Amino acid sequence: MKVLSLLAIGLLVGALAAPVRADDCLDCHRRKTPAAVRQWEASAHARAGIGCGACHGADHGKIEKGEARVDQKVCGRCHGKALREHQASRHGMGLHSGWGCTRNLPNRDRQECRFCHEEGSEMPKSDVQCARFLKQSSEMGEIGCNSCHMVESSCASCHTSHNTDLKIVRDPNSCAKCHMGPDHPQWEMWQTSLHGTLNATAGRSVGPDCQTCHMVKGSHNVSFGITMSSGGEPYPPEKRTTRREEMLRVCCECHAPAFARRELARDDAVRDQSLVILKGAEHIITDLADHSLLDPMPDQRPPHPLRGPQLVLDNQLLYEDTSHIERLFFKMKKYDYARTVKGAYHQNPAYTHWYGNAELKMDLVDIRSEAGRLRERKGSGAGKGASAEGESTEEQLRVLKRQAERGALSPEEYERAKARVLKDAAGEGKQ
Amino acid sequence: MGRSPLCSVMIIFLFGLLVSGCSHLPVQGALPESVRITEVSRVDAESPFAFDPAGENLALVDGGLRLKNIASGAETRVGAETPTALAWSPDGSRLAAAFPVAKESALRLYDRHGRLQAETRLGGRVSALFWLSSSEILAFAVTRLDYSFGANIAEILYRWDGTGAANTVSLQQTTLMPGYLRQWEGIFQRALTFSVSPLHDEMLYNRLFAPPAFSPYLKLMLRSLSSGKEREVAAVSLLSAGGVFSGDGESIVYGEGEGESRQLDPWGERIIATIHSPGRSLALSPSGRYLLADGRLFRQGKEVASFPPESAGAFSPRGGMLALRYGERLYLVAKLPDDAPSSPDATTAEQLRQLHGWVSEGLITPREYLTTRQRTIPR
Repeated sequence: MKVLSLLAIGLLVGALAAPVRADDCLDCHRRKTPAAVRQWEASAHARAGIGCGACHGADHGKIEKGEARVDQKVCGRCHGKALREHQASRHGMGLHSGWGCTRNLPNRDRQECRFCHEEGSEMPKSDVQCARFLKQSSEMGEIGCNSCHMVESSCASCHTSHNTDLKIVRDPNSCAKCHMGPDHPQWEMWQTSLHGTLNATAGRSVGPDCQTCHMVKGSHNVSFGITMSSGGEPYPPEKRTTRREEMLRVCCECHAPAFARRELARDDAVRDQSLVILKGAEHIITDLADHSLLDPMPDQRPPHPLRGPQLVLDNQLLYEDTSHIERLFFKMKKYDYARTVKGAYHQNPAYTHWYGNAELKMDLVDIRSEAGRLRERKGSGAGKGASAEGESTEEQLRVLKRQAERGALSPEEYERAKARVLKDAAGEGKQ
Repeated sequence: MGRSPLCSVMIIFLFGLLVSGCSHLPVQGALPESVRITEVSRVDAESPFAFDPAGENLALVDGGLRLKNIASGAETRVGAETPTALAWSPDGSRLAAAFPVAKESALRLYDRHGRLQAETRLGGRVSALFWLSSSEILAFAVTRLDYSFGANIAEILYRWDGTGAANTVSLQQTTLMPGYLRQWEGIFQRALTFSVSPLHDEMLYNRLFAPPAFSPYLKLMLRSLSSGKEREVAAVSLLSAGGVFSGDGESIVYGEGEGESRQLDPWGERIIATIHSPGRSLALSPSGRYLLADGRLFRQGKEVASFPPESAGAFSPRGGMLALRYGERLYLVAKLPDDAPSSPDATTAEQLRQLHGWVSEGLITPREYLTTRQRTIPR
């Protein structure tokens, strides 16, 4: 009797633990999600006998609550090499560069937590955050940020959910979903370049596409051969050299090495020249902030979500709740500098010049003009205790403090400069 | 009808007390011969009182707000409600009084005859008032919200010009756990108060700090009234009376609550003097010559007399008088030999305000403050 009971329990446990077969799901899902079933039936997964449960698990309640989504970890169980390549690439940090913690945002969706946190952990998977994301509504963040930046953890971002046809992801249109628009129009650049034109007319064997150069031999490391950060800052020389050699190997599949090297060196020069223009504008704005001339100043507007009441001109700069001149700089840096540099590396003359460099130079004209207006507006305000430049002792001290805070003055230089200002204020320094 | 000798002695003694002004204020030590101590009035225990700027009238609480002329003893009954804070305007023409109304306070302005002129409502319980000018008053209030896990305590600064609603500045919020609430009930709310510099540029307030694993304590915060920038000056016990400014606006005296009191230059960050008394109640004469700490009267740092430690005092704005509340009596200690108030002239005051502002914004260090002060403001 005891043996029989144990056998019955064993059979029951065995039945409960049995893997979920596709047939178990198909009856219902042919009616409820017919497209998903059709796509799966035509996929390599179906041909290999990989059913629904292999990816979605057996807990239907969890699936219904959206807690059993198929992310990169699920795919990575079988596609380990692709996952490792992906994680080593810029796509591998895509999500976090677009996200920040939403815990303090109104109307936030608690489902979002799983993008950044392991279940039950408060520690984020990455500390990369995005100030612009934190300024969005939940709805805008969902479509305007996450639709692209979820590429970090979701293979379906490119491959779609149930299709396995590589034709989909080998088409440059699958990249265009994100790599287009005013900030990084790589798709438009490529399409209207000689590479893109040849691709459209003579085919992939003559005109390379995104995948040819950036996913060499099917690699998921899309950062292969790139010599600068996503913000367009060149990598340190050693890393740059290694990356350049990688890209040259790709170019030399079609081009003579000397030609490819010369072309890329010319693009580097465009980047460096454009960076000088950009840094010039940045210096103007920093100087205005040092002299309290921004309108409004950072401490007179909503605080920056990551840095508080500070001037932010690096990659975390905002296009809202800033002064007009910072908004001009946003366009200059995020749109026009990016278009100049990426246009050059994608061999697109119009993007490099008219959409990029010309706009960049006109931005500098606008920024200088706005800076002049702000300085003129302040000009008549010099009062008691003003320096030769018309600044009061207090303003001079404030300028020095800001310069010291951003590292433009060493502690020793700061102390000396302050001592000079205070001596002048006491009437001792000018005797 | 016979009367025992003992009974006769008692009657004579009581009559003597009556005609001598019922002076039951215990005093130890040698006060100067000129000093006269008289009882002014019966007052409610723990109630506030305030001299007018001329030192001629006192606002006090005896079953309600009263105005009392010191010389004549004439008294005006203003009302039956009991205020939590009182302050006279700089010209003495108006009196501000804050009254508790449920969980709020009513801030009322009266003329010198006790006639109501204006009123506004403020959230929380007002613990101190200060006139920033003859048309603007500051009120320091504390709100408390009780939950099962403790109480949320918020400190708020109000600025009111006598018309419309007051402007609100939230100074800080913290949560006090139930155990600490029980331990400090009745103390922490009294401990949360403020004082304002005679230069009217900065205020000193007691910020309640309740770290999760330690007992709550107070941080004395110096806050610029123009920029809102704050600096911690000292950390003290909840028993501390906080700090008071010296008449020249160049130093503060604060009590640690347990241990000693200190006179500190908070801008130059240097201790000027140490007073061997915990500073659970403090008052500084406008000249800076006299300090009353925990009932002990110090003249230029030397203890000259002592009153009961639970007494609380305030010096008259022009010096020479000390009002002292002990139990349910208010006494006047008059004819104290004192110097003139040590308020700086207008130019010096402006220079000091500027230097204080620079320290508060972090534009100069305390060392640079001292050097620059020495260069620009001759002693």
